[in-house]
Parts: sequence; structure tokens; C-alpha cells
Amino acid sequence: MDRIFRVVPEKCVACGKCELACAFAHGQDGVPGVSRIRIYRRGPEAGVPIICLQCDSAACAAACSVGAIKWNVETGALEVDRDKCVGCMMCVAACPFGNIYMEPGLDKAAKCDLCGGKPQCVAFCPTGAIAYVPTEAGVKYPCESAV
Amino acid sequence: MTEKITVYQVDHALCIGCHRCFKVCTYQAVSGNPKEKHTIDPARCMACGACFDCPKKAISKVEVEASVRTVEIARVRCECCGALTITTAQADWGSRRKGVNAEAFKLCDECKRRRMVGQARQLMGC
Repeated sequence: MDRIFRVVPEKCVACGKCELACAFAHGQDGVPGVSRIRIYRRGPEAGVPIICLQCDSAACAAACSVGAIKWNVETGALEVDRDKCVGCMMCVAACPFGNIYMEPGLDKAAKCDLCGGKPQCVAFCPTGAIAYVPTEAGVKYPCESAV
Repeated sequence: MTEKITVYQVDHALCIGCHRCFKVCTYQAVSGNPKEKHTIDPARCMACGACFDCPKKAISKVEVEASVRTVEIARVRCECCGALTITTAQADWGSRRKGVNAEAFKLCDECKRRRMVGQARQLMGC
């Protein structure tokens, strides 16, 4: 993976635009889907956006009984194949970070698919708390832009 | 009128014993050894459809009376908040799976997110 999410909790104002953008980007027929990004609002910070890390050895993919979670080579995202998913919630339970959600109504797993390489949560973040950056820029902390 | 539920069943005339349905069943409803005829126990089948992808199309849906489902469904409780997550049968199956950390089954997704934020806070030293 050459690009990762960089989350700067100090910049997050917990406005919820990323959650909305995600829900609408993954909706169908005008109905928003479940948001794959969540802001954790109960800590001392205003909010911490939590998003799938696209693990190299992913527990969700290993736990899936039907092999519905597959690596998308183009975007570097682990994607849920909706046709294969049986909604058993094994991936939800196996994810060590709690970043997989169930789509209400459909009862299928939903996880971050990087919006096909252009994450909409990043596009809608007004403060730059989430950025989709090359890996080298993302692993430095504190990064220059946070100060 | 009795309540009906859907379960899956194996057509023994078509089953070649490839063992695929056994491997994918997270509820341990499928019994049978490789190269023998497999059977789905309707008492345990939760009709998730994971086994339906049969190379010989031997698995079909049937409607049965709800009373055949006699298995008691025990679910895992989150150690932190007490929310119900997967069933204990699924947790058993998942912990034997390669690449899955059974520790993750102990918490619900909400509590896991909270723990993730806590760990990040420690790493950043604030």
C-alpha cells in the first residue's frame, strides 16, 4: 500500500462531515448507507476519526467463512463482496479495531473501500484532520502540519 | 398454523464429499467426513447460506417447522459493556481459524474502537 490515512485528532472538531460524506458515498437509490468512518466523541479530545487501517494480514479476511473480503489490487483496499457476504458478523467480531459495520436492512458487512482511491471523508473534512497521504508522510508524528 | 423456518439440506444423490460446506459452516451444523456424504443438521442450521456455493449444486433450501431448531443459541457478551455479539459456536469456529486473534471476540466493536483510541493516545504521549 503506498498511501495511508493520516488522522490528526487535534484538528478534528467532531463536525461529522466525514461520517455523512461516507454514508452518502456508499448509499444506494438515494438511501445513505452505514458510515464506515466514525468519530469517537467521548474522550478528552473533541473527536477522533476512526477508520479502517486496511491491514496487511487482515483478521476480517481470515475470519470470513465464505471468502467475501478480498484485496483490491488497484486501490489497496480490502473490499466486501456483497454478493458473497452472508452477514454472519464474523468479520465484525474478528476486527481488532472495531472498524467493520453491519449495513442495516441488508444485514451485510460494510467496511472502508477507500471510495475507489478517492476517499470522500478526506474531501469533505473542513479542518484537514483526515488526510490520505503517501505512507512516508503519514507515519511521522507529530507531523509539521499538526503544529 | 405452525411457524416455518428455512434451513439448508444436502441432496445425498449429488454430494461427492468435497467437505467445502463443512469448512464454511460457522454454526457446526454440517457433519460428515471428506469423501463421504455430508448432512446438515436442521436443528443447528441458521440458514446463513455460506454452504450454498456447492460445486455439485447439492445444497438446497427447504421450509421446515420452526420446532426442529432445538439448539440453544448462546451469544458472546462483550467483557466491557455487556453487549451481545456473535454466537459462542461462531467464536469457537473463529478461534480455530488461521490469522484470527481470538482476543478480538471478547469485546464488541464499540469497545474495540474505544480501546483503539486509548492506545493511540498512549502512543502519542498525551
